[in-house]
Amino acid sequence: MAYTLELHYFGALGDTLETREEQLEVPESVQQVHQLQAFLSARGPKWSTFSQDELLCAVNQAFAKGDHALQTGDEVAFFPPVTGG
Amino acid sequence: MHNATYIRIQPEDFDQGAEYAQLAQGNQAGAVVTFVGRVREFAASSGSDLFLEHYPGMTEKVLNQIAEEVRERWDVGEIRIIHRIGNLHPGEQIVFVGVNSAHRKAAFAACECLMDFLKTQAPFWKKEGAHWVTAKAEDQCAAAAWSQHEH
Repeated sequence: MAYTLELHYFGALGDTLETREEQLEVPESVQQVHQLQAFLSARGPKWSTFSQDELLCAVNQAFAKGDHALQTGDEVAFFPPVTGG
Repeated sequence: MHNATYIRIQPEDFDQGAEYAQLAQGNQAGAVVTFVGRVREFAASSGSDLFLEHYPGMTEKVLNQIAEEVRERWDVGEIRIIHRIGNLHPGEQIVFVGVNSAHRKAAFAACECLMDFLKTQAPFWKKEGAHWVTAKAEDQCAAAAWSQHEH
């Protein structure tokens, strides 16, 4: 069954996508972060950044790698390498 | 010397003297080390602001984790971290990191390590005018070097 994720996009990524957050329905086949990235990269021209650029991911506000398993209702954020301090 | 960690994320400026006064309380803290990061001039800075975006919730979590990691490595007392967000001008203060400990070696190392970890892990992003700043490889190297650091 399809399920819903809360997506956030920060930094230059948010500008590229022209959106900083959304509720996204994803198919059941999207089970891990790397599959979500592939799914997002196919959404349209702006979204090719997901297959081209270095992006970090956090799930429920903790850094997550490509093999992190996703669950319905998860808060998933993608962003460029951080530049605070 | 008490082992509390104080993290603040805020748009408003901070008073470095007031933070030092907190770290210098009591007779156990023989060493106090502080660092302030400020906004440098940037190419589009005439008329342009620096904008600091952050990930509310995750920034606090990550800074607390960084502070805990530093406590595991060095015997330090109080840790105080302040990071500003929103619009800033060149010359303004951005970040404060302060540490106290019984002796100076731990305080110096902990303060530097906190900054190196903050710069590579804490979810903030800087925009200079219309241009997003890109992360520097040398910051990753500095952070990684602490993994090999003998202390």
